Amino acid sequence: MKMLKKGWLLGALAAMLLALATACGGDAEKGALITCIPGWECEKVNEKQLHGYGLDEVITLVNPGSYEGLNSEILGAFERQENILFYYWGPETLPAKLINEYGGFVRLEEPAYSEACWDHMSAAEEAADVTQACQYPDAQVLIAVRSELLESAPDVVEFLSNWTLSDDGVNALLGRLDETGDSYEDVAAWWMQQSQEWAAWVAPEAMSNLVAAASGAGGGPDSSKPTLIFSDLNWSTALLQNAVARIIIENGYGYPTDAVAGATIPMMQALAAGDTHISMEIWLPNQQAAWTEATAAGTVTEIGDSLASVAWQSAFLIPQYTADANPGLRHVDDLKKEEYYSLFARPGAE
Amino acid sequence: MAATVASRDANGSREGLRQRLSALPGRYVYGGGLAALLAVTLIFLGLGQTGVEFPTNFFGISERIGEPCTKGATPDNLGRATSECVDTAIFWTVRNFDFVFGPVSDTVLQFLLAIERVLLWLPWPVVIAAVVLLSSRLAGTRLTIFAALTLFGLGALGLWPSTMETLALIVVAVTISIAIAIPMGVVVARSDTLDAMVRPVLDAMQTMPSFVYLVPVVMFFGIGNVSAIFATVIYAVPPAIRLTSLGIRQVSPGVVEAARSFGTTSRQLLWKVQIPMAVPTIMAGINQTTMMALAMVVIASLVGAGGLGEDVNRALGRLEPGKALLGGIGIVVLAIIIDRLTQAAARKRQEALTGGGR
Repeated sequence: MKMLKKGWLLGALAAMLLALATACGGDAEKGALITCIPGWECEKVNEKQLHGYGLDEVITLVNPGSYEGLNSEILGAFERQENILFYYWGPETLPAKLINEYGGFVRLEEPAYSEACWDHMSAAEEAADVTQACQYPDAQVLIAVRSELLESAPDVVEFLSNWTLSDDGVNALLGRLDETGDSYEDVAAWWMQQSQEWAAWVAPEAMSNLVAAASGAGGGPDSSKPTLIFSDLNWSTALLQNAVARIIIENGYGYPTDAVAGATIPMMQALAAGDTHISMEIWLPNQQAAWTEATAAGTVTEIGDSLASVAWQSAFLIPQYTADANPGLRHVDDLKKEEYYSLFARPGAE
Repeated sequence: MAATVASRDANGSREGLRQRLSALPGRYVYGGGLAALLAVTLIFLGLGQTGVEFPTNFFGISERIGEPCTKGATPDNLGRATSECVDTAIFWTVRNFDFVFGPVSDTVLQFLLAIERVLLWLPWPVVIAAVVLLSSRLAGTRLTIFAALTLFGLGALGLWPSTMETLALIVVAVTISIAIAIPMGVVVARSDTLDAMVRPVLDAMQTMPSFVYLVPVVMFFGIGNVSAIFATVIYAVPPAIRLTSLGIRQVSPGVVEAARSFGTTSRQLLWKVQIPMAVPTIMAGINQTTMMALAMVVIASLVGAGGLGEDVNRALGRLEPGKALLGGIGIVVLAIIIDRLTQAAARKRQEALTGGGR
């Protein structure tokens, strides 16, 4: 009985403390910005932008935890037609899906990119040191290979340096993937029948090998050649590009291929260490730090652009329906007004 | 042999066949089985060059199931029809049941924030002193010294706020788990049918890879600690349910009989006899639940949970294994302290139970 009384006393004390804490907490609610994946370069950039634009008083960054977390948070909000302010980049599967099925999104206008401003932002150690901020530069998506491939597989390097996948190509591949749910290999094979875009990248003799392989007459990898290992990065465009490249390299150039799957940063290390040979998508400036480290030793070489379309990224995206309902919200400066930042308020975002 | 013949005569050929088969030496039975497998393999290989495909769309079932779920092309195989329908159901629930998930999410969040604020507001010597007091009363000197030193060490390494955030997360997840597990355990203990029904569900909850439900949970509860808590509860609640049920079933029939003979109602039996006697086992369940919740800390950070898991997640993203190790050590320290404390509490209770009878 004594124990019981003590328990009640402790419970009451805890309850009082909790009630006090609930009452004390929660100043005026800030808006929430679903930011970039933890540990990525963009996480820091977004923080610096927020401070540079003078928005950190009214907007707080919410960490999505992972790529999957970011995607499902955004998709959930669009399903419920909720207001959401989020970071994303393209071309990618999710933006394509949002445009095709959910009415799309709007990029808030930001101060234009300039090299001086970007250098200032990059040089700042802490977000608080940033006095002037601007939008992301258009991103560059590179193809990188192990340097020894220049010797051991010059024909493949030649082919990959011709590679640039057009916007239409990306959209056709992503659309087919979403629509049919087929494997990446099947989607790649389908696209190679539909589009002749890839034909321009391939050497004539490789082309005739591919034609022969398609009609079932021979082709396929030659086991005397070295196996080329691709970095299977964990997003759709990279996996689709890998699938197309592997079909062409195996059947056109006769090299056996393989792939190792993993997340961005470990895959960059794998390439630098020689565990993989080819990465079809190195996103700059987003992966700048890891990329600088990987190329420093000279074991990795950039051999050209991967995507023809301009790759973009932005921390200030809003759904089209939010933009329609709030015609005054077009520029990041508009977010300083309470009527706008409060649209994105969420409990617990402090 | 004589018996076999006799039964064939008596019961007709079917019964006789079974008896004759069971009388065969094992090697004939296995040999016959292998030969049959070989024959089937040969037949199937003969039918097609690469073998025989699974019937994935027999009688158009896939189309019929998949048709209402898909916007685009109708799926022609069962796998795709099923996954499309699950997707559709999840999105439909997300769209239409926000009035349920919203308030639930807010309540849990307020609870968590309150605990987090208290833990972060309390000066660190107070928190350490509280742990020291608790462990010296429950567990003894060794744990007390260990807890004081390691907690101080975590603070000195700059991990204090993250540790408190993780602790708050664990407290809320375990509280919700207990609130679900004890009533469930009691109900399951009282019905064998229910037990047989719940058991496979619990097995599935424990073995289903957490990534599978992590992502849909985010669509319902939004990114952050609330989703993390629900994912943690799914993973961590089964042992508490199992052990609550076990504890109640283990109460000796003699004790129950004696209580009944004094005329207890079944409510009194439950509250005054079965639950108190089951407390040590229930505590063991809570201990396991807490340990499993701690195991989810880093996975939960993948949906935006804060604390030590987030530190580990971010450090790995930035290729800083040292920082990740510090976060990991923080989780280990928390786990050891909580584990030893709950075990000691269970032991005390057990001693009180067995000692009190004398």
